[in-house]
Amino acid sequence: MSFIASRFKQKLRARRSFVLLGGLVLLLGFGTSSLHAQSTRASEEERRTARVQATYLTHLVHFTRWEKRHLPAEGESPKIIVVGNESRGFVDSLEFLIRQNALKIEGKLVKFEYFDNSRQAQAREALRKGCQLVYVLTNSSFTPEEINNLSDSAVVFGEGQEFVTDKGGDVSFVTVRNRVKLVVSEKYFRRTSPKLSSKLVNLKSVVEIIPSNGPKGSIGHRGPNFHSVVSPQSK
Amino acid sequence: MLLCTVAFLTKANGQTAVDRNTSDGLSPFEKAELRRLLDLDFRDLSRTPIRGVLGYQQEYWRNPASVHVLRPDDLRLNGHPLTVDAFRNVSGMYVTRGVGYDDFVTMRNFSGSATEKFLTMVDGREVLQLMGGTINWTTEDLPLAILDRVEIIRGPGASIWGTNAISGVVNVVTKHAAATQGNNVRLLIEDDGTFLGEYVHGGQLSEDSYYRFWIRDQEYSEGELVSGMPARDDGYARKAGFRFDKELAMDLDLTIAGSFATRRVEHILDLTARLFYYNAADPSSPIPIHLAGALNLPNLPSPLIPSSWQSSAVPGQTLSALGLPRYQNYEEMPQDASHLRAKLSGISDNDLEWSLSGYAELYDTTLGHVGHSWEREEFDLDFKANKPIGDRNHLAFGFSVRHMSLDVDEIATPPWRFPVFDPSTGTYRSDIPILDYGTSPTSFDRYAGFLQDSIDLNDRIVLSLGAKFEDSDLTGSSIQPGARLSYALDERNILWGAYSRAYRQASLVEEFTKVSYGRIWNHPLLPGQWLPMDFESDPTLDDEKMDAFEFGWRTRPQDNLLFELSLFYYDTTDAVFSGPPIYSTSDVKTSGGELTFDYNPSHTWHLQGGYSYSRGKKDGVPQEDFPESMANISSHLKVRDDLIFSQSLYYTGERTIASAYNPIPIDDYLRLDLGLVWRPDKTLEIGLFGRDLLDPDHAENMYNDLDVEPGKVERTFLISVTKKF
Repeated sequence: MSFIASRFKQKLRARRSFVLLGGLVLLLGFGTSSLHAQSTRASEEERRTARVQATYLTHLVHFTRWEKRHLPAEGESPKIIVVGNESRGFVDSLEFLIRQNALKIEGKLVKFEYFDNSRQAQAREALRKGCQLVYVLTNSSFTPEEINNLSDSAVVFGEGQEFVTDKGGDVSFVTVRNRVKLVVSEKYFRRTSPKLSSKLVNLKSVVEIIPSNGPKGSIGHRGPNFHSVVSPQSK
Repeated sequence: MLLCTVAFLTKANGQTAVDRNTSDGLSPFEKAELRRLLDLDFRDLSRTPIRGVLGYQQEYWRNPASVHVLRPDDLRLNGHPLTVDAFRNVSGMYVTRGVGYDDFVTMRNFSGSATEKFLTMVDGREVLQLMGGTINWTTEDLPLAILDRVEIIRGPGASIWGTNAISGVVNVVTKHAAATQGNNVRLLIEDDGTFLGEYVHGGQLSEDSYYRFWIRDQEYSEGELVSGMPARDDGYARKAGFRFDKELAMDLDLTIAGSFATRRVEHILDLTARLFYYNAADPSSPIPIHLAGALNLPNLPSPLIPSSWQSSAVPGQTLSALGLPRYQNYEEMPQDASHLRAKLSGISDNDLEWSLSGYAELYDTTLGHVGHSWEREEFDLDFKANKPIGDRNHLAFGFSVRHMSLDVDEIATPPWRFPVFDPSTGTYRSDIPILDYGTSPTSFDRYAGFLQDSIDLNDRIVLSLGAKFEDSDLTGSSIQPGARLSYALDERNILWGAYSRAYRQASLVEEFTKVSYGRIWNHPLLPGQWLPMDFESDPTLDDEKMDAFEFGWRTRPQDNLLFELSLFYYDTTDAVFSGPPIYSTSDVKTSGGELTFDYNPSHTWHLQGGYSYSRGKKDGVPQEDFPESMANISSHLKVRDDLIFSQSLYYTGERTIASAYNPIPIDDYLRLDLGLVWRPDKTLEIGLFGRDLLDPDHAENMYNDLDVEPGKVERTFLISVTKKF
């Protein structure tokens, strides 16, 4: 009996301490949260999101095929262009990864160009000359349609599910369930150039495929909870 | 000197650094993070959390802990056949070899009666053998092709990891089955005939389900003991396993995996100082029977040595300063282990990331040299979850249940089968086992839960508070709190500090097993007869309790250079040390630190290394069973695009292997390994390595009070071939 009693008391004591400690943790945690502004916190999270997005984009280049007609002429470099303003470190991250990885498109080293909103004319000119990949930042005035008109060789990337479902972009990044995922238009798989490798179709947890005829089409994987998609910059 | 050299190299190579003045909007830590992300595949990238939990995310540079991550290339490029060998490149870890199949690992700490006072997990499954408090590294090792990484967290991490995470955590993570598609063969052979062969096959069952199976064979050739005698350590360890992964839905994954391992080797028991003559002048210091014979003390047994003992004599060999004739007994030590695990994991719409895992394990072993065998059945259920709460808090919590049952058996080994008067039964017996588990409990349950909150106080400070609660049949109830804080001084410097309370539960041998370690002649209780010498186990042994204080500084003075300094002070009460006359507990204070660096002087050259210092005092007396100083440095130089020249240098300070009658000093040693790795294409790798090139052989370790002498760790040459197809 004494053994049981001692164990019981021990458990009771331990449980009480545990509850107290748990309470303290929560109190401290939530208490401190209300004392501080949110701006600096969001910055770290957004920078992390940007790093993951830039890495995805670098990987996707390896899974994309361009036909010769969509590649630059002999002696010229394939281009990745980013348009719009941002302060999350996305442009720096992408530029770093392109150099670090010595990124190539069809065997040629990639040239990286960035145009903020104050240089729209130059951006338009660069797009007209041709490029292989364009990333449209959220606050850019360029639309996928406009980019396609300027350059038919480019895969057009953007942010938020509507970039693909409503605006006609090829790929967009969404942040859902504390992860960065891809929304990919089915046309990016279907067309002959630039074409995304079908290997990515099977990655249910990574890719949501949007059918060409709209989000309710029969082909592709529809993530069940993409209604909760939040663009990192929309927070 | 190391620091100066690296500082000089940094300056000298400043112009050829990996990247210098571009991407200026990124901090050096962010660039390092990008390099790491670049190595992830799509699947792993999609699992990278935007907000993480401290303690889970080992590679986050603001993690307030001392972390080292080993990857497959750390084994391949350094010529390490086994994962445990790669721990030699981790500062603060003391890795030694006894005989060919026996490796010992200690982290930052004292040894006591069990060496592995840290928690080791393989895909979430605890692999510590509770009976002896040790880890069988060969049984738990895996084919290199399926290894994703090994996270080594120095220092206690009890608030998430739980009991036995006392001096650190080793977390082995294997690859998803989709990452091991096709076939992979790895063959290694050493010049002494030791062989390791691994084959992994992976395939796809449907668009979202993958499988792999693998087999592994390790054959040990016989080595020598330091005296030149055969070590009788030849044998084999064979293993097979499988894994099945299925994506049930977006962010809902199922994993089922298992393995079976079998090992057949022999082990030794030192019988040299097991027979004694009662010392009336000092009963606590009995006289070895041969010494009593030489002194011609009165009433000696006739014959001096029982006939059953004679077959264990080693003619012409003596041990210790007393020149005692050597006696030893080799017996079989078979081990069979199998486990099954299943894991369901997912992320809910409200960002709750969770996993539910179940484990079933069966372990069957016989320690023939001590006549002790047991079969262990174990079942575990484990739920873990984490969720961001608001903008600043990230809560992690979990619960686990474990049931373990044992079937223990003992016999007296042949040398001990001579009549002895057993005072506890009042009869003469010749069947008294060395380890007697008796009627001690054989069924144990454990319930545990943890709660931890990672709080971003501002953009510079992250605070983590948490605690683990456990209730166990073995140790009662305990709370293990921890607090960790990380402070970003600027873009290049992170300071961190931690306080943790951690517990290590006494092993089942320490707590429940009576040890009959010798026989004594002419005891006043029964003159002219042999009596057993034994000491009782101690079921009242408390958990070892450690209060740990840590401080760390992590800095990237430039993009291609990382320094980490970790300092620790551990205050442990009730640390268990084996008798005789009884398992005793002591207060142990340990302090020290590690200084490590990781440096890329150019795109083609990678340097890594560190220095560690650790000093322990047991009840105020300095301990000599752990080397105070250790250092390691490894260099990988790409001579050509397809050829890597590898150099590793290891220094280990002197120490003493403790023994009641024959302490063995181990001199400091310097080990140089050189290797060439040729990768003609992405599917083939051939490595040639020379290990221990400075010394034909040296001694490292042995089980004190069990082994007679350490084995020679010899200079070896190794060829490895890895082919994917």
